[in-house]
This record gives sequence, C-alpha cells and structure tokens, in this order.
Amino acid sequence: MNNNRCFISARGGTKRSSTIVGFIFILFLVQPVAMSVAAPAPGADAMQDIQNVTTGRTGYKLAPVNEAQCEETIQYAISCLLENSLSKDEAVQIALLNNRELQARLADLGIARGDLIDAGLLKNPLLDFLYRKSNAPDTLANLEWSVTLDFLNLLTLPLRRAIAASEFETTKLEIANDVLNLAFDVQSAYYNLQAATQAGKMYQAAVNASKAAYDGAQVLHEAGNITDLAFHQEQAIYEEQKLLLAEAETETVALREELNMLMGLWGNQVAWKIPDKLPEMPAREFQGAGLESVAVYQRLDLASIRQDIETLARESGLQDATRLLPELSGQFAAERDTDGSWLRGGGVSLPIPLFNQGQGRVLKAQAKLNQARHRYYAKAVNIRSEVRKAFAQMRKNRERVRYYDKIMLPLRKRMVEESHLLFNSMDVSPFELLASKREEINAQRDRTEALRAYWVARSDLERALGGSFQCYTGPNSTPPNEGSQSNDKIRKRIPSGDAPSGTANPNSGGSATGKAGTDGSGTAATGSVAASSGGAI
Amino acid sequence: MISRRNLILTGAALAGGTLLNPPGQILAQTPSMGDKNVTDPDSVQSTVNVGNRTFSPGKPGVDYRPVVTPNLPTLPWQIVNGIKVFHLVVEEMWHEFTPGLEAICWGYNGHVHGPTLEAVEGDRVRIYVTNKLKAPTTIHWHGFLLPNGMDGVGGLTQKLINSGQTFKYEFTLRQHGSLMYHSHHDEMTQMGMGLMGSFIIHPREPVWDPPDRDFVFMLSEWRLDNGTYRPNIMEMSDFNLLTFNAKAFPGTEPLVVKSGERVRIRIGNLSAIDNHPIHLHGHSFTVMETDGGRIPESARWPETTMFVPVGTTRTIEFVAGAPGDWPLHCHMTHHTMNQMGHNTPNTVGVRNAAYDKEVQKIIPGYMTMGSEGMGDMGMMHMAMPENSVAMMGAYGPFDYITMGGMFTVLKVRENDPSLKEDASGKITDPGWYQHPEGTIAGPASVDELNQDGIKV
Repeated sequence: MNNNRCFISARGGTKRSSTIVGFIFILFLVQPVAMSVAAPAPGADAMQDIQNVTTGRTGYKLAPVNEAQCEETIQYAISCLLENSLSKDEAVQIALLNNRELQARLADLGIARGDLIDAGLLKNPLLDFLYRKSNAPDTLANLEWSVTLDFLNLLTLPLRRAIAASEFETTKLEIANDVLNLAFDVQSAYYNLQAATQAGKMYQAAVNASKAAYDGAQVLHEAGNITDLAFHQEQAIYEEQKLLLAEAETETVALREELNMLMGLWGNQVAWKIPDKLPEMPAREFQGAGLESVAVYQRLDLASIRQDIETLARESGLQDATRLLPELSGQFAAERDTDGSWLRGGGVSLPIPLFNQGQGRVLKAQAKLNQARHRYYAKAVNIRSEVRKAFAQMRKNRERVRYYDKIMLPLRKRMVEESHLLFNSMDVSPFELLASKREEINAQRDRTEALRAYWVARSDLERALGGSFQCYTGPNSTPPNEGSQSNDKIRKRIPSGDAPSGTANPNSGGSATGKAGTDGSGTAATGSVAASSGGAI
Repeated sequence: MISRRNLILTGAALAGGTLLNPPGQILAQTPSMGDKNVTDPDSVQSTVNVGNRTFSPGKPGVDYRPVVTPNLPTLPWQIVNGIKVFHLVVEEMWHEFTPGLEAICWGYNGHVHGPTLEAVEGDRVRIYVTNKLKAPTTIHWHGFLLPNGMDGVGGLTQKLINSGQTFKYEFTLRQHGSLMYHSHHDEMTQMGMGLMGSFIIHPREPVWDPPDRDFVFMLSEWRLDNGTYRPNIMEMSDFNLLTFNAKAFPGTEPLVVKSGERVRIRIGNLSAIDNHPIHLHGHSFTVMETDGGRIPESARWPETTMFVPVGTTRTIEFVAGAPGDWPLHCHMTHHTMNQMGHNTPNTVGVRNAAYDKEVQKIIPGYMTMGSEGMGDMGMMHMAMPENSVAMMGAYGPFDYITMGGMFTVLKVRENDPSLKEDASGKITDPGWYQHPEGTIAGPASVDELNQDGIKV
C-alpha cells in the first residue's frame, strides 16, 4: 500500500486551461475568460470528491484517471499485493486500481466535465458576410456584414450553468456508487471463492472416506468374502464422490475467474492464492438499530436521484422562464452599397408566441420532475427493504452457523463415535462407519455454506447501507480519513439528526426534494458528491 | 450410562407407582424371597382328597428333595386349609443378564424369569396372580392336567387379567414331572419380555432312586441390541441373546455336585423359535422324562447331547463322574455367543493391515476385526456401545473362555468338608478346578515330538 502515495500526490495534474477565441465582441469575452483564468476549471476537483467518498465509505484507495505516469507504479503495487496470499481487502484494492471497466467509468467524469464547461460558455455570435457584384458599370461590389448574437442565451447563462453543475453532481454520485458496487462485488466474489475453496477440501475428505470404504471392499472382495455387487456398491459411492469433487472444482474455477475479471487480472497475474478458510463470524454482531435511516442517508444511488430532482427542478424553472420567449437574438449589420455608401444598424429577432406558448415544454419538464420524485420515493422504499432483507439474512445465517456449531456438528461427531462403537461390536459394517464419517464431513461442508451465506449477506448489508461497517461509526461521527471543510459544510446543510432518524417517510434522508424547484439560483448545486449524499460516512 | 439407566428406571418406577394397592389383592404383599422359603411343614394339619386318595401337602426334605434353580429362587408358599397357596406378581423390572448387560424386562416377584414353583403330586395348589403390568396378562400352566378353565389361555379359557387385577388359579396336581408356566396372552411380547418360569411337581412316592442333586433350567432367547435397554420383541428369528434361566455366560451360576452323586437336570425350552441341543462334557446321561411324563426304560438311550425343542422339557440323569469343570452348553455355535452383531462383512482371511492404516487417518482407532476369526474378540477390550457384552466370554483359569450365551459349568468335586451347602442342596461355587499334576494338555516339547516321530 506504500505505493499509493503516487495516486494522491499526482491528483490535480489535469488542469486544463480553456481557450476561447472570441474576436467580435470583447464584451462577451470578459466573463468566460475571467472565469477560466481566475478560478479552476469547473469540476476539476470532482475526482478528489469521488476518491474522498469512496475511500471514506470503504477504506480503499481509488486509482486516478489519466495518470499514465502512474501506470507502472500501479502495476508494481498490484504485483506486490498479489505476491503473498491475497486477502479480501487486497482483492478489493486491486479491483479499484486495476478494473478497466471502472477506469472507463471514471472517464465518464471527463466527459461530464466537458459538458459542464460547454454549458458555462455563451453561444458564439453568428457572422454573416455577403458579397455581391452588380453588372452595372462603375459600381462597387455590394458588401453585407452582420453579426447575430443570441441575447437570451446570455440572460439564461446562470440558469443553464446551474443545471449543468447539478447534472455533473449526478454523474459524480453515479460514478462513486459504481465504485462502491465494484468493491462490494469483489467482496462477495471473494467470499464465494473462499467458501468454494474451503468446501473443496471437504469434498476431497469425502472422497477420501469413500475411498477407504472402497479399499475395504476391495480387500474383502479379494478374500472372496463379499459379492461383486457389494464391492461395486462401494465403488459406485467412491466414483460418485469423485464426480462431486470434480463438479465443485469446476465451480471454483468459475468463481476464481469472476474474481479475476473484477480485479482486471490476466497473464501471469492470475496465479494468486487466497486463504482456503472463511473467516469465522465476529463475536459481536453489527447492531441493526436505525440501519434503514443510515442507508437512506448514505446511499449514493438515492442521492443521485435526489440530485436529478434538483436538476429537473432547475430545468423546469428554465422552461418556465423562457416559456414565451425561447429565443431572442440581436443583430448588428453593415452594408456597403454599390455606390460606396454604408448602411449600418441593428435589430432583434424573436418568435411571436402566437401558437406555441411553451405549454408543451413546461408540462414535460414538470412531468419529468414529478417522475423523478416518484423514482426517488421508490428507491428509498427499495433501499429500506434491501437493508431489512440483508440484515435478516445475515442474522439468520449467523443462527444457522451457530446451530451447526452447537447441534449439528457435535451430533454428527457423536454419531461417528457411536458408529465406531457399533462397528466394534460388529453391529455395523465398516462401510456404514465410513458413511457416517462422510455424513459428518458433509455437515461440515454445509456449515461452510452457511458461513459463506453469512458473509455474503453481510456484504449485501454493507452494499445496502452504502458503506462498509469498518467505516461506519454512527450517523454523526466523522470517518477517519475525512474532516475536510467541505464536509463540515455539508453536515450543516443536511441536518444529521433528521436523516438517520426518519421512520415514516422513506425520503426522510433527503432535504433537497422540491425545494430546488423554486430555487433556481444554482448555488445549492455546487457542492461535492459528499455534499449531496450526506458526507458523514 | 448411569444417568440413562436412572432415567429409564424413573419411568418404570412411575409406571409401577400407579399400580400400588391394586383392587382385589388378597395377600398383603409379595412374599419375600428370604431364607425362610417355605412354611414350616409341621404346621400343616389339613388333608386334600385327590380322587380316591387323600394327601397332606408335600413337605420339602420329607416328601421330596428340593430342586436348585441356578440364578433363580424357589417361590415360597403357605398352607391354608390344606391348600398350598402361592402368589405370583407380574411386573416390570431391571434384569441383569450378565455383568455389563441389563435391560427392562417383565418377570414375576422381582425375578426374570419367575421363581420356580415346587409342589408334590396330589397337592392342591391355589395360585394368585397379581398383574402389575400396564398390559393384561394370563398364566398358562404348561403340560398340566387340569380343568380347562384353569389352563390360562387368554380369551379362550378365561378373561384377561387386567392391569391391577388379581386372579386365582386353583387345581390339584395329578401328575409329576418338570413343567413350566408362562404368559398365554400376546406371547410374542410377553414371553419375549421374559414372562415364564419352571414348575416342578415331585412324585408323591419316589418312582426310582431320588437324585442327590436336582437342577432346573429354562432356556430362552432374546433380541437385545448393543446399546439398548429393552428386549426387542419385534424380532422373529434373529435372536442375539440366549440364556439359561435368563442369564448368559459368564453370568450363569455353575452347577456344583460331588463326584459319584446321582444328578438330575431338568431343562425346559420356551425360546421363541429355537430348539437347543444341550451338551454335557465328560458324562454320558440318560433322558428320563419329558413334560409328557416318564420315558419307559426300554425307550431310553444314552446321550451326551439332548435336544430340547421349543415348548418341551427334558429331564436327564447321570452319576457325576471325574472331578473337574465340565461345560454344559447349547451345541449350536451361535447360541454360545453374546450379543456380537452379525451385520458386518465376513473379514476372515482379509489382508487388512495396509487398509487399516489408511482408514485410521480418517477414523482414528479403526481396526478391522475378525480377519483371524472371532477368538480374540473378548480380549481386545475395544470400546463397546454402552450396555453391551458384544464380545463373548470371560477369563478362565488358563486363558480366555470364548463362550457366551447358553453356557455354564458343571463343577464336579470330590467330597470335601470345605464345600458349603444350603438347605436346598445348593453348593457354593468352589472356584476353578485344581488339576492334578500331569493331567493338563500343554505344549509338546521337542523331545516328546522326536520321541513319537511327530514332524511339525
């Protein structure tokens, strides 16, 4: 992990200056040029925001985009992580550094930034030039110049810029959410593979037990003491167990490749090993109180819909404002007549709202806003259900594992001992004794499956909550790697007491709903990803 | 094991508790099985008319020499108005077949099988039967010449004796011989649980020289799986516990006699399905009687093994011969085994050493048994299921005795004042026979082999 310094220190190297060539009206150049020079380009720290949020939520570092010089360092770091037995945390870290799908997704940030910058610029003026020559003798050529500028564009620039900024926030939230999902995908895949590896050992043990019975049948058969059928019955069990092992090994290969895909590994990188035993359950379970509110407060996909609502509210405001006058352009024109005289002047052009008064656009924008609000509500309902489901599954699977430990495994163990006693008294055959042993092994395998289900449910709960347990210390606490000014600002913006404690209203984690619809000033949309999603976690 | 036994016992005690003071119980309590096993015969005043003849109740030591029932007592009686009155109480109880093996069985007066009833031809007997089981029962007097209504066949000749009821059987003994009694209701269950006993009727007047020692055995068989505590009465053919007087060797008491004595052994068989060829070592004997009566002298022949079919008795007599410890056992080989299961493949002749090592990796302590036969089984001291004597036998004076089940020892001794004898003629076990020098088989020396031209 020492090599990760590179990703942090290299951040911000993508500063681009915007070059705008305006040559007609200096006036129009003043604002954008001043902005591009005096302030950083819009969205420049978006990557840092995403890194902050995802690291804060998972504890893992994210590789920056467009850092070619770091590629070698990243690969070196990955090879270090792969060197020894690969832990779950290391697997997640590798995926976050090396999954090219994720890198491609992060590139969406650049695309979104392009849109954001474009939205901040005025529409370029239109230059018309006309040259006409008369066939009358001694006449000059007729020259016609005109420059047309969309005035309304100038007036609505702040509105559009706010919309673009809000859309950009949505993109950031969606990307950050995808980062988290990848981390949880890797986590679940890791547990699945680890369980399969552990179960594989038990399949092997069952093969060994059935082989012992088969060997026993063989010596009895050779001595002429059992029938061909009795011998083949034991052989059939043995062969069956071998096939089950082969099936399990096939499954393990698939699970291993799933993890390879998520970690973006190929070539000689795929020889990694993982510990072949699932971790035991923590002694104390994560407590379930208030988890639904935490999820509503934390979930980035919910926050992105909330951001959508803000965007659509502003969009609606824009459509409202430009309802009657969607276009307004001014023109400066000069014409040299054939006699050499110049005509100079200007004018405006605007549509007369005789037929279309923008009803359609306004209605559409409002409907979209309404639609987003429903989606937000639905998402919140679903999230609460996901949390309850994952939490209940985690608890149930925990009970299952405990039941195996307290009841089933001791029972099977005892049954083997009892079979052994009855074998000693010649009441059961060695085959029955070894079958009893096989049942014990199967119970251990089933217990492994229960433990796997526990860890996957736990991972699903983290996914449902929108953050790892290890990074969660309560709704009001500050995570270890955070505490920046922007986050403090956010905590003021979203009352922390409100969101996590919400019970009746599934939207209670959000404060942006509806309000932005009448706002339209655009100032609220400039927060970071964390700002829109409740950055306390 | 203790806790499990206690648990089962508690259940039995509770069941028994509900049957206290059953209605119709005549005698205040079950007669005790103490030393005073008979009422003083001198107190008997009355007489009973039998046919044309009148007899007073037969007196032990006067009218007959009492029988010895190894491992079981004789039922005491009292004389009331010239009638011998017995009281049998049917109940559930723990029974030990041999040390280390016990089960909940059904029996009479605290014993499995029931105590031996003893009377004399011509006696009038009145037998009260109190049922302390939850199930109804009856008692059939096997081989008796009696009124049909006293025959004890449930449903056919009498009503069932329901739980808590006491029935009265009364008849005059019109024969002598070795007879039996057993439940005649739901026999599969009730005899499978142990409800049977011996009933000896002595002749009023000796028909031939009375024996010096008189023994009686009841043969029976059980299904008691290793690790269980109740005979499995569902078993129809595969019995795994075969007993003399409900005891399996080494739980069987020896028969101790003095050399030269005239010995009588009466053997009844109430096994479920198995007939038993009972073999006596070191002697030739004669079968004198069946439960049908005396065998005419012309029909007798000498034997060393007597076949005792199910539902009959045989009485043999012989003169005790050479001193020593002579086995008396069923000659069916599987009937002299204890509970050892028969559900494993035959391992005789199997080369298992390498295989055993492989299995031990999976099941520590695993060992293939019987690859050289079963002879070592008893000595292996392998862990066994609780409450089981799966492996046969016991240690004898020389080596391990690979016998179980229907096996006991006739101990013939020179008359010796150190032999202790009780009133019934039962001699206390004197221990293993001390062989005179040079009379024991042993390893042949090289010189002996050479001298006799034996090449090995």
